Amino acid sequence: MQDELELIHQMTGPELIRLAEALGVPLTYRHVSRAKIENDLVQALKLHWQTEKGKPVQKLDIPALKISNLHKEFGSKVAVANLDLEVHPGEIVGLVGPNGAGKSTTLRVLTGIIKPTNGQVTVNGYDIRKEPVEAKRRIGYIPERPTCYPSLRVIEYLTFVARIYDVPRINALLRIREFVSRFQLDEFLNSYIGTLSKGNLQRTLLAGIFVREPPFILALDEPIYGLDPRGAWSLKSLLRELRDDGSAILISTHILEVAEALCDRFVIMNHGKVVGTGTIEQLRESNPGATSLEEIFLMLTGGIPEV
Amino acid sequence: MHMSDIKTPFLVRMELRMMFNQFIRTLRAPSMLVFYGITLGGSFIVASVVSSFLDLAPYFSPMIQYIEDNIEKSAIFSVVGLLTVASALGGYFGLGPSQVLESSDEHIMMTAPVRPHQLFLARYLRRIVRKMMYIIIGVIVISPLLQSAHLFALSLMITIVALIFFLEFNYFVGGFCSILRTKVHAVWKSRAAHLILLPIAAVLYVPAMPEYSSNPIFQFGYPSNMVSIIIMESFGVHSIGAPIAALLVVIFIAFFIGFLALTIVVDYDIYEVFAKGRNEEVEATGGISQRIRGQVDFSKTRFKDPMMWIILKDFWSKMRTPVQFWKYVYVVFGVAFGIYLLLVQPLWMTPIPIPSEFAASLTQAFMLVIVLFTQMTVLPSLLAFVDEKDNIYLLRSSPFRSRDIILAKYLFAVVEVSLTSLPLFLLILYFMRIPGAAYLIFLAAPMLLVFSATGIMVGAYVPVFTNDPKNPPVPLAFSFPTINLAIGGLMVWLILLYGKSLEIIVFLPLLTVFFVILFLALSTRAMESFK
Repeated sequence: MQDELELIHQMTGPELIRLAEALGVPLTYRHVSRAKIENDLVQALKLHWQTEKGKPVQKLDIPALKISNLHKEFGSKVAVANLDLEVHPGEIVGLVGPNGAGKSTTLRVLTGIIKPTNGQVTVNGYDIRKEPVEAKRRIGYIPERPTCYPSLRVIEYLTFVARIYDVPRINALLRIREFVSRFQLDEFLNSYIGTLSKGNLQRTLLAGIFVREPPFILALDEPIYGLDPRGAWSLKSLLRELRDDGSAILISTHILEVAEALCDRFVIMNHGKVVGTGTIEQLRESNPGATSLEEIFLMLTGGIPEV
Repeated sequence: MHMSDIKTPFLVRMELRMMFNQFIRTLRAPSMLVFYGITLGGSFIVASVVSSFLDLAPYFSPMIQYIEDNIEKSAIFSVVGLLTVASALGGYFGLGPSQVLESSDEHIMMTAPVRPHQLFLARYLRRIVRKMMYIIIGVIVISPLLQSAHLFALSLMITIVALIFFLEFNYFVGGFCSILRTKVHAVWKSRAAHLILLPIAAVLYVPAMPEYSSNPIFQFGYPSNMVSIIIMESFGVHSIGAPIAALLVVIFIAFFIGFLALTIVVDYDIYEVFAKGRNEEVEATGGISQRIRGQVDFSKTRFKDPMMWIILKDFWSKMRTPVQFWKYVYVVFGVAFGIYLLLVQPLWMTPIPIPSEFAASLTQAFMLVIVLFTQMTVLPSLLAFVDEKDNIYLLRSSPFRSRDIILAKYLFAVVEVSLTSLPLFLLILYFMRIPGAAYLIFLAAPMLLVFSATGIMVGAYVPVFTNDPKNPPVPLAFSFPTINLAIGGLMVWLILLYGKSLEIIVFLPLLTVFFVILFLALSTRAMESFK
C-alpha cells in the first residue's frame, strides 16, 4: 500500500470522516484544520497496525492456480481439451490463442462460472467445485466484455466489493482511495456506472478487484481492453508490482505485444488444445526461425501467412 | 459472527439500493420523468374520461351472473390448475431461478465468495418489491375504471394479493422443475429424460381436475384451487361463504414454503443454466430455418432500393430464428382453420353464446376486443429496432437516409403483423357473432397501421434515451400499449359517435394517415438524435 500519509492526504472530506469513524478517532472539535485531522488519523493508523502486527501474513499456495486435465464440451463441440496449467505466486502467465481457441472458456471454468465436463481446478489449494466460496474468495476476474450494475455509483460498487470480499473497513477505505487515485476515478466516484465510458468502466472493475487484499490470484481476460495508453501503462506497471509482491496472474489476450512485454510464461491454445508452452526463450528454441511471440504464435496456429 | 453470515442482508440492501438509485435516476432525467408523467398521468386521465361516459357496473353484474350460469366451478379449478402445470413446463424448459441473474453477475457475483442461494434470495426480494410497486401504480392508474365497475377496493386488493402469491408459487414450481432438469440430465443424458415431466404434470394437475377438486383437502389445500376460491368469493361467483382471510393465510404459507424450499435447493447449477442461456442467445439459429435457406446472397438481389435491402436483411435474419419459421406455419394453418370454421361452421365448435344482458353493449365490447387483440399482435413493430441491439448504430451509420430505414422497418412490421394477426381476427369473427361484425372487424386495419407506427416510434426512441438499445427503458416500453390503447379508444369513440353517418369514411382514414405520418416523422427525428 502507498504511504498512508499520502493516501490520507488524497482523501476527500467524507472519506476522512469515514476513516476516523472506523479508527475510533473522535471528531468533536467545532473547528479543526485538515492537517490536524490527517495527523490524528496517521497516529491512529500506526496504533492500529501495531495491534494487527501479530496476525499472520497471507501467502498463496504453490501453485496458486492449478488446472488439471480440464475438458469442457458444449454439446458436441469441444471448447477445451485436456488442458493442464499451473500459475505460481510471483509469475504472470499469458494465455494466448486465436478467436475460439478456448481461452475465455478456460477462465470461466476456473472462476467457477461454468463447470468443467472433466478435470479439476484448484485456486489457492481449494477445489473450485468442492469449496467454491473459499476458492472464489481469492480469485479476481475481469471478463472480455466488461459490464457492471448500471444503477450503482462507482463508490457504492467499490464498497460493495470490499464488503463481499470481507475486507476490513479500515483497509477497505485506504485501498479504495489508493486505487481510485491510481486509476484516476476521482471525478467519477459519484457517477452511476451506467453512465461511464468503456475505459472508465474497465478502470472501475479493476479498482474493484484491487480493493481486496493482496496477494492476488488474477484471471484477466483482455485487461487492456478499452483503456487509454496512460491507463494501460498504469495497469501494466501495477501487474508487475503485484507479481513482484507474490501475486499469481493469468492473462488471456490477443495483444501479443502486451503479452510479450508482461508475461513470464506463455500457454498458446488453438482449437481448445495447448499447442505451445514455455518462456519466450523456450518457445523460440522449439520453433526455430521465429523471433517474436507473434511469429511463434502464427507458426503454432496455422503458419505465418505469406505476403 | 463471520462476515459471510451477514452477507445475505447486505446483498438485499444493495439490491434495494440499486432499485432506489434507478428510481432517483429516473426522477433526475427530465426525459424519463416526462415519459412517466405522460404515460401514467395520461392513462389516469384516459381511465377517468372513459369511466365518466361508460358506466361499467351494469356490465359487471351480468358478467358475474353469466360466468356462474355457464361455467362450472370445477372448470374454473381445472383452468387455473393448468397455469401451475404450464409454469412447471415453462420452468423445466426455461431458465428457472437463473432468470434472476443478469449479465454483470457473470463476472461480479458469480465469481464472488457468495453462495448462489444468497444471490437468488436478494434478487428475488428485489423482484417482488419491484412487482409490488408496478401493481400499486397500475391499480392507481386504472382506479377510475375500477370505481366505475363498482369493484370494491377490499375485494380487489384480496384478489391481487392472492394472485401474486399464487403466481409466485407457480414461479417456484417452475424453478424446481428447472433445477430438477439439470439434476436429471446430469445422470441421464437421453431425451427420454424429459419423460420425467409426465408424472410432475400429473401430480400438479390431479388436485385441480374436476374429478378431484371437489375434495375439501384439495380444494382448501392446493394453491391453484385456493386462489380460484378466493377470487370467486371476492366477486361473489359460486360463493359458498369460504373464509377468505384464512385461505389467504394458507396461500401465503404455500408461497413462503415454496420460496424457502427453492432458496434451499438453488445451487451452482443456476450459474451453468444462465451461462448456457447466454450462449444460446448469441447463437440463436434454428436447424429448420438453416435447412430452409442455407445461404442468402444479397449481391444477387434485383432490388436497388436501400429500403428493400433492409427489409430483405430483416426478413432473412428473422427466418434464421427458430420461432419465425413456426410463426409462418401458424399463419398458414391458422388462416386455413379460420376459413374452414367460417365456411363449414362445424357443430363441434360453435360460436360463443352471447347473453341477452350484453345486447346493449355488444358493439362496444366487440370493438374493445379488436383494440386489445390488435395491440397484442403488434409487438413485432416495437421489436423492429430493439432486436437490432447494438447493430442499430451500424444501421444508423450506414449510408441510408433515416427515412428509408424507418419506412423499411415500418413496412416489414406491417406485413408481418398483418399476417400473424389474420388467424386471430378470423377466429374472433367466427366466435363473436354480433350484428355488423363482418364490417367492424375491418377496424383492425387502421389500428394495425397506427399501432405498428407507434411500435416503430417507441423502438426508434430507445437509443435516444439509453445507450443500451436492446433494453427499452420501462416508461418507453410501457408507453407503447398506453398510446395504442388511447388511440384505439379514440377510434372506437369516433365510430360510436359517427358510425351511422358517412363522415366516418373521411374521419377514420384521415385520422389513421395523420397518426401514421406523425409517428413515422417522430421516428425519423429519433433516428437523428441518438444518445
